Amino acid sequence: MVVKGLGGPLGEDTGFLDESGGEESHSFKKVGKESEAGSHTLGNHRPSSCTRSPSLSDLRISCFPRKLVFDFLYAFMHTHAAPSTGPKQAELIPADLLSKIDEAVTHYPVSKRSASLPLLHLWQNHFGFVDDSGVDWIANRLELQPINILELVTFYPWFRQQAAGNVCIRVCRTLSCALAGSYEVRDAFCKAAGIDPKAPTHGHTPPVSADGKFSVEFVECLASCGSAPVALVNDDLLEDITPEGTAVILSQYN
Amino acid sequence: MKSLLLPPHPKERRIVFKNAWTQGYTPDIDCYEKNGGYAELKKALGMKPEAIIDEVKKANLRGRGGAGFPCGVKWGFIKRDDGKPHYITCNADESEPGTFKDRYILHNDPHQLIEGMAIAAFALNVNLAYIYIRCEFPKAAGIVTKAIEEARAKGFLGKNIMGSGFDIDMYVHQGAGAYICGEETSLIESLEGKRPYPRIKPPYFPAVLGLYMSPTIVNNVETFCHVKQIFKIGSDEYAKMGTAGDGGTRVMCVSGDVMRPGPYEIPAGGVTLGELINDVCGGMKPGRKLKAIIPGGSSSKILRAGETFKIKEKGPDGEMIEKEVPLLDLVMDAASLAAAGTMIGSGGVIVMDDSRNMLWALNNLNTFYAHESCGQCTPCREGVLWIDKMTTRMVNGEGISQDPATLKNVADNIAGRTVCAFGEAASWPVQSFLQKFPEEFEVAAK
Repeated sequence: MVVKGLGGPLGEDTGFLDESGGEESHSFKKVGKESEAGSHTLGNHRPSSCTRSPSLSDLRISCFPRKLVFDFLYAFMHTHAAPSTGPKQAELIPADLLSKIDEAVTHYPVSKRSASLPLLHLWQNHFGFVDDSGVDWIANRLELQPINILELVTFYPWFRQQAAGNVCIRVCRTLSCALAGSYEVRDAFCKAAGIDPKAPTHGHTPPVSADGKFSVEFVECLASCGSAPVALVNDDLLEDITPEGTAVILSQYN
Repeated sequence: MKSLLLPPHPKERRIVFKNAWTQGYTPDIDCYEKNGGYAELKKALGMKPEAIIDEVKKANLRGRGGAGFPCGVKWGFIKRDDGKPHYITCNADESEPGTFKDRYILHNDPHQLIEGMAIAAFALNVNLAYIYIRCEFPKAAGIVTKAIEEARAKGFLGKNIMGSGFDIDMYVHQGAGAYICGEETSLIESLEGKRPYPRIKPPYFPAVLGLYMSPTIVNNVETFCHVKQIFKIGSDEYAKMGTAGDGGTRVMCVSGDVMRPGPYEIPAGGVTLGELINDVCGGMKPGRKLKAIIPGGSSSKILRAGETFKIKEKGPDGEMIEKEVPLLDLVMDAASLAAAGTMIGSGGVIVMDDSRNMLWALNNLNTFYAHESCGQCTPCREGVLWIDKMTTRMVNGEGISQDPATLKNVADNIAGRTVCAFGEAASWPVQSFLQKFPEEFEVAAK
């Protein structure tokens, strides 16, 4: 195994290219069970590093020669990426998660691929985010290529490749909530959580407070416009929020 | 939602919302059965499938998701005995800004949806159905999953339901935060486990080549609930509640600068825009005047206070006569709003008062569309992004004199040039804001 995805230093990238030898890095061979095929297909992960930029610009680069762009972005992003530490998620799957996964796959008798989103949800609900080993594991479980899973993680705003706060605050940004003051509410949440309000408002990696407890981000319409402004705090929808009320809300979830 | 805890307004007629807002009503199956639940499914299982589709056609039920396509006609596209597997999918990916009705049904009355879907499944010879719920409704997914288990345990779902020999399995599928999944072909792609890039029509009409390339019907949550209600009330009675071609009730979701925002279930065409805002919703906030109304979700074209529309109507002697109708006298049904150059869409009415800056409001919507464009078609991916950049710049006081013309030009070149209706949805607000409030854009474009 050479390339370990996001956390790997730049040098390993070269190692990957050397070792892959005559094999094409985007081959559509089935994902192998063991390390050899694994290291080969992991090549598909290099694009993941560029997904730390907003999703729209991510999509736009697909028009350019892929290798050039990916090599550049991989080199560029890895100067910023935090080194991966600790065990990989795929090594820590508990039995109850496994049984939930097995159950979810049975819901799609026609095509296992349909279980991609449910498995990603189960994975993220358990681990908080989806790391490269998770992408590999899910792809393997559903007999897909890792890119088939990775492209979902990078497309859908809900999925994350890095941990958010333990308490995840998603403030609705769209018109009815904005009319009712959601920008002030978001800033007040940031202030109460000790996050710089100038931090990026959208994206797969929201700003997290220094203690790791809270993350605050904007999301688009949460479909509760009649009780605006609203926010989704973990699984709870909170309605008619005022900037003054944000500190109390944080204390309830602390 | 405070407005729902009040007794229904005299203009309201709660059918779909009846149980959901009855004090003491719980979402479990016992409570549903006590209130006559699953009786309509039993009735439908005793009917011929063609007769079920005819009932829905006769009821003039239009889809409640936004496009407003007649539901019975849509169902009629499915050939029951073509030997292929068929699927139905419930679109519970409610994410059109201004629309907020489905959550209340999913949370408070999930069995109504399940029963409606089971009736549809029987009519269309479907053995596998999915409910696509957006992941921002995590609790709804749990509640509906539990409701499905209850219904399965009681024999309303699963093998040989109620001894009819008909099998129907149903599962919840959660989305992952993408607005585009509300588009039916995109929803199907997402359900197949792919990036939700909409499919091009033709040939990929869901009723022909839908989920797993098989005939598929995608309907909104509210639509399926109405199906159940048609069999409860009777299609004639149901059709009578609305206007010609738009039967039954509609949930109008009013938000923005009114005293009592909320979802109100009103017979289609049963109120005018003025009655809805001033009577049902308690009027504007104190000291404020109406400025603009977005009548059918953020994608519909905006209407300006004081506007009048020329609408053709049938006169007493049967001839069509043209009438001048002021904005607040517009009847809230599909035909009247279409005649006024906009649409009833998903029923999301956003009201703005005279304190609001229209450029700021448009910029808010542009940011939404720029964030949610799936990126498949170049005009939309690039155009919406630039529209957002331009209005953001104008809001920040850095507009230049060409901006309004450029905005219009870009919007005109998105609409009609994309695979799905997102292109129109994103450009209609730009076009209509510019047309209706040109002075506000000119001020910012100096």
